[in-house]
Amino acid sequence: MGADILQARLNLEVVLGLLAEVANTDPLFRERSRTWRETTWFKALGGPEGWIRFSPDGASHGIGKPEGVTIGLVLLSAIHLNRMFRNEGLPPVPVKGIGRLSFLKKEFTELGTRLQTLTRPGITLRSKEEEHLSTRLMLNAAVRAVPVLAEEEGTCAKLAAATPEGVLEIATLDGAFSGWIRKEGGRFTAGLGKPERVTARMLFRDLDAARIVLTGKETGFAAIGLGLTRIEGLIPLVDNVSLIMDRLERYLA
Amino acid sequence: MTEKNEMLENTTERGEGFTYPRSRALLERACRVIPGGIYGHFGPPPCVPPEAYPFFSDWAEGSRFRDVDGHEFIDYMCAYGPMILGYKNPVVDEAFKTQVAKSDTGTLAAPVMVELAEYLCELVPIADWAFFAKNGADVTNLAVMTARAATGRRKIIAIKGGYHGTTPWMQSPGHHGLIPDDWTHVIRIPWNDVNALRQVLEENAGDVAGFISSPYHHPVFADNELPAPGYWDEVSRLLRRHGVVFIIDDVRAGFRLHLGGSCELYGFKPDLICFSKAIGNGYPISALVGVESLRKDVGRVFHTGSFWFGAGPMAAALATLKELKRLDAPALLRETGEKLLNGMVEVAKSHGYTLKVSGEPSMPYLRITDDPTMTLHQYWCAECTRRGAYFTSHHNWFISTAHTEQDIQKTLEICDAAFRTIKKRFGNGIE
Repeated sequence: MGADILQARLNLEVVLGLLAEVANTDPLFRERSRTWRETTWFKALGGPEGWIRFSPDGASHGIGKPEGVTIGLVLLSAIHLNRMFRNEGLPPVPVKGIGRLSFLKKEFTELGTRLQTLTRPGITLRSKEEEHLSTRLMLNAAVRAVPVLAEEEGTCAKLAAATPEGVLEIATLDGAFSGWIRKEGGRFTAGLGKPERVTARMLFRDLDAARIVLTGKETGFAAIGLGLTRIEGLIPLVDNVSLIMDRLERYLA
Repeated sequence: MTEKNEMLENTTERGEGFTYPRSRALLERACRVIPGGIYGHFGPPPCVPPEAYPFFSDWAEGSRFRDVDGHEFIDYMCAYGPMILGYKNPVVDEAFKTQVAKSDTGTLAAPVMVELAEYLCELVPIADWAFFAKNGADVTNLAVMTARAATGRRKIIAIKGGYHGTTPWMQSPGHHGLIPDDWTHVIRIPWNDVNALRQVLEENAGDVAGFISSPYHHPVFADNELPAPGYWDEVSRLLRRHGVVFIIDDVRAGFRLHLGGSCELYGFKPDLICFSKAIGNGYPISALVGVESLRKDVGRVFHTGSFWFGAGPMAAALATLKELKRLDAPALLRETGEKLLNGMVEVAKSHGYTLKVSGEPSMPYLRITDDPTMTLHQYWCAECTRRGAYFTSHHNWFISTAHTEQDIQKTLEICDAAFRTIKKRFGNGIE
């Protein structure tokens, strides 16, 4: 059950976040998604719940139950929710918006397919712009996943316990991506944007450099020596968070 | 930390200090054929910022090495420990050359192995026997296997942050290539915490085979800590009472603090001591020595390697140990270390910084305390390196008997210039 809860939380806290990012930044969906007016809530019985909202202001997502749900889906378990995210198994039970399910079957599914295309390992993307979007999504996933992995995954929990407190900034020097991971009072939180206070930094020269590292074309060691990345500040914070991030590929390949 | 742009400003572009185009070119070549380019503790990550550090060296002598770009450095890492007598020590090198002219790796063991074991048993008070290998991890592994063979138990107690090699049982959870079974029987407790040791021994009564620790706590990225008064006495008493094999990992500190093993300086007697690094002044050899009561058990453990009988490094080790004794090296290293460190602390103070020295003077750990993120310290070490005094910011340094008064003076001048530079860039500290 622990692994299923972990996977369910990654789906709700990371994958929904990536879908919102695609909707907000991918030229294929940016304008189109602003015409959607749907707030979809996913609830796994005995497990986590989360939501994604599309509005003229853009897409957003979160955990728990939001205001203004237009489509409510109840899953019988975390396993059921995870199967739904893999397009397998029984359909969810709609508790609200039964007449709007076509949105899930068409627009939402198209968005999911686009996310898969952009993040599939080894795929050759059509343009530099797509590559950059794909890289931002990978960075985004890595940042968002750390608190979930730290709480739910056995080895990551050990790494998390051994991680010093502080704020790690993860960014590209060209400003194309900026995010942070904070450990405070023993708990991890993460977000996008520039943090106010920084204890350590993991910086990529640009998105191309980040892609080289994230797709494994260079190791972290080589990337530092070659000037693709740099780390500074409280290095044990960088080391442990990197090891936690590395384990994400086991769950979101 | 200050603004990103300032932090990332590359002072080499302003024409200050060394630049390393050949090192960089070699690293690029290396990355094509060696995963990571340079692996392990020689890899780029601890070199912060990396542009301040060379990656390849092709010459070394005494206290100095030269990188492939032709810059000469006073070396305070000493190959991360082995070079206790300095590079190209004539006595050691001659002993090595003489031996390999006769034999080195062969089909049979060489007589020098017996001679070296006899000398170690004479030099190290607890040693009734000696066993040789190549690296520190070879003998920390043997020590743990011996403890398990002797007791028939499973658990090993180690100190949080303690390093005993890269064997899976000794790596921290979460590193690549490990599985949870690797750390199932290793229990980590805080340094200097007798109560924690007592509790773990009681909770695992009858199942603890060994306790392994360095003689004082020298983790990376953190201040080093000496044993509290009475700590080792109480540890010894508890281990004896619970029938636990007492292992000291003296791989890093061995022969730097006391020629009889660092335990002699702190006044206690372990069952097993692991030596490597300084024992051969750069020639590859490690040793496990132990008490009579474990002779039978270590003799039953099967542990060997293709190159573990190399006679050249054994001859070098014998010459190194004799030379260390002739020089009274521990006293000399302490004196040199104290002179250097006192000078550095004063230089730091003159610029308004607090440089904290921890550990023993012969292998000190330094940290500028004005910045808890370590960034200021990283940039100061980098500025020193780019001016010819090679320091890394994350690890304890090593003093060798080859460091001279002139080296110290030159190093203090470099430190002064480096402090001036970071003062200009960062001010009094990093908030």
